[in-house]
Amino acid sequence: MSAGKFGFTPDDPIDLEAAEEPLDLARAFQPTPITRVSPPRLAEMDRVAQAAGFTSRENTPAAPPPRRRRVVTAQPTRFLAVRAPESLYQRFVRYADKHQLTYHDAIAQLLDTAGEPE
Amino acid sequence: MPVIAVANPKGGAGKSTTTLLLATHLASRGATTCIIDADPNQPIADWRAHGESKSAVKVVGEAREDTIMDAIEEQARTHAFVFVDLEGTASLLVSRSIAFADFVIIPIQASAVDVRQAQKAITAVRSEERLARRSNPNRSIPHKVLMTRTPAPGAPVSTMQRQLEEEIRAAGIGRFQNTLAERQAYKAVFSERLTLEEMGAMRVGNLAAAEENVRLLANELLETLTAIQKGAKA
Ligand SMILES: Nc1ncnc2c1ncn2[C@@H]1O[C@H](COP(=O)(O)OP(=O)(O)OP(=O)(O)O)[C@@H](O)[C@H]1O
Ligand SMILES: [Mg+2]
Repeated sequence: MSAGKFGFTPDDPIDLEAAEEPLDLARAFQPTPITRVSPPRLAEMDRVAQAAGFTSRENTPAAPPPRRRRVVTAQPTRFLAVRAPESLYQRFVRYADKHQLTYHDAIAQLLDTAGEPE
Repeated sequence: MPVIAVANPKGGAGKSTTTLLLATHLASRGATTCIIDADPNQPIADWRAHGESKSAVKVVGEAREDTIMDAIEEQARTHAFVFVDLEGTASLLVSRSIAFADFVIIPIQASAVDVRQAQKAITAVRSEERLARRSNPNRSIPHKVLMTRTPAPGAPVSTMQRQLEEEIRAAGIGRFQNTLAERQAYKAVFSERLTLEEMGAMRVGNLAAAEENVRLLANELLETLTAIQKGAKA
């Protein structure tokens, strides 16, 4: 809308509908990382899927041996999420797999080794 | 958030059609959207590679059993919506994708005689959910059935579809209230390798009605996902 010589403009009503339009719900979602799982965990996932009739269509290597069952404790549990460099992540998972430990057992074992009191 | 797996081991249930329509629609509304084509036949990768669509949707092809977790993880970091289009078989590629999903859409062809394969997808969802809960009690894999290739609004719905819907309800399985109707335009997106919007100039039946169906379905999906997110936070 162009202004006249003296700056006056014809009525230009604000488009209320456009102004009030809420943010599209489609844009309200953010990317959120997923949690990767260790190879033994993946093997467990495959096992329940196989029980439901899902089979490999590829020549994927045989699933690694199942990890030792978690010791059931009477204590309440808490969740620990750790973001770590890829190499450290791999190193930790490799350690747990090699010794067939759950992650929390692996941490416990490392703390024990370090002589950290209970 | 959402990683959305589109699964039904039954071939031709409408998985790829549903995925492509919803993903391109959300992309056109400005959402960062990705499709992982996890079907060895690569229908959507083909759509992107050999088509001229300007859609902002990103298509990642050639997912395999041993790469699917990495593919989902990588795309989920940068896309608000990650769709995984799965093959019509009961493979580990399918079950793994389900296990990593925030939501699973199970398209069922409304007039299909054999819908038992759909139950297989639901069983996989429930089993993976149960397993995941052992380490994370809050983990759930919400899922809904979507009736596909239904009669256009106003046209009579078959007794079989009604019975199917009733059985799904009785089994406590969620279902989209919107369906995906049988429409020429939905076939044309694959043959023309364009989005619905981009086919404006072509004669592909009632394009406006086809677009409206997808918009309503996408809105229902968004509402469902919003409710899931709220539930997860609560
Ligand atoms: N709503 C619809 N309207 C018209 N045609 C449809 C509709 N949904 C699917 N089709 C057609 O049905 C056929 C199968 O659909 P689609 O490829 O989406 O199924 P699918 O579940 O992905 O199959 P597959 O198991 O082979 O991957 C295709 O030819 C498609 O064009
Ligand atoms: Mg398909």
